[in-house]
Amino acid sequence: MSGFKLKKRKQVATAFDVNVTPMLDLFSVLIIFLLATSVFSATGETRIEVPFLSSQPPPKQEELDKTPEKTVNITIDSKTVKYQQATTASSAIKDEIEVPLTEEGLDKIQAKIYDIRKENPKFDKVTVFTQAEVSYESLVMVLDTVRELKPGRAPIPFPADYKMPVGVDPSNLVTKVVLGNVIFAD
Amino acid sequence: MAGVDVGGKESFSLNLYPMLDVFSILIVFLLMNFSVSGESAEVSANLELPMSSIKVSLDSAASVAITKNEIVLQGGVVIPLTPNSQDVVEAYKKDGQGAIRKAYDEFKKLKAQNETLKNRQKNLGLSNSDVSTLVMQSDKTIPYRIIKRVLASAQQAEFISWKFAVQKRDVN
Repeated sequence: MSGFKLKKRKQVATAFDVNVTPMLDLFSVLIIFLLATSVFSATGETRIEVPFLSSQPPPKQEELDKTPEKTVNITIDSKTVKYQQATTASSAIKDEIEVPLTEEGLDKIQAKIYDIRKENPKFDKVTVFTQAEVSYESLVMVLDTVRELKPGRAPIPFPADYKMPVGVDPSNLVTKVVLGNVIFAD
Repeated sequence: MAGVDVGGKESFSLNLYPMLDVFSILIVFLLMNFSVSGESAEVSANLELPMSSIKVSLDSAASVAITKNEIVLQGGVVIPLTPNSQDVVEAYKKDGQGAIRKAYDEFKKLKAQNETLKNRQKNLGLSNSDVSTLVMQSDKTIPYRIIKRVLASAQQAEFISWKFAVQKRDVN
């Protein structure tokens, strides 16, 4: 509130001036406190699972045949990325594309996974196989494609009974990414 | 700054309102972005993380840092890499399955510590904290060959859940 004049019939000048200095002091202290204690995190995380060797027998093929589910495997090479889709009922490849390891190429792979999610909102797992010479940067690029939706694609909500894994953004395209070729590394 | 003649003496009054406006906006911005969600995870200085559009912030956990020259484990154990970060030095490899002996031993120790911690938490009636997940901080140029060796070492010590650290494109 700055000093101002109140116009009355007889032009009597009355000035009000609020002392803002204490408020300014308080604001300064508050700003210093907030700047000192805030956490501006520029580091993110993407969750990965590694297959675990289990002594339990695998599920019987007859059971898998009853309710076949789509499986998606992605193989990363130093220059290309291969997308392969099969089902639990049969290991035969139903759909396959190979694209260059670029934003445009990866967009085509995301479109494929997006279509599967639209068809089956419970679909949540992609297995990634990475060749030895592929850099961490390229691997993260592919993981981004698998998880984070590109602009223009609306998130597909998971069903109400779906158990969301801890630490995963619910707007992700898939929630589980498994690194397939870890065991028996060369 | 306004000069006002009061009784023959000149006084100066500084207009603080623009400053107050700026401070108010700054406080609102800081309060909106204020986070007290615990400590942020420390990232090793000798590595450059790859950029990612991931929105989830990195939580602190036991971590493995892979720089261009070495692998640094949580306990400070260092495993050297061959020139050009092609592989770990031969002497550190474990027989078969591609694990790194020293890393495997360290992960085993960590697993035992975690089990003890879990049991204590259980005895005290506290909820179990997530100690079974490890953080991988790797330089963006590191080949998967090395990452895989670390993952295999941890996998054999029964760590199968990882958080891969990345540099967020959109900072929040």
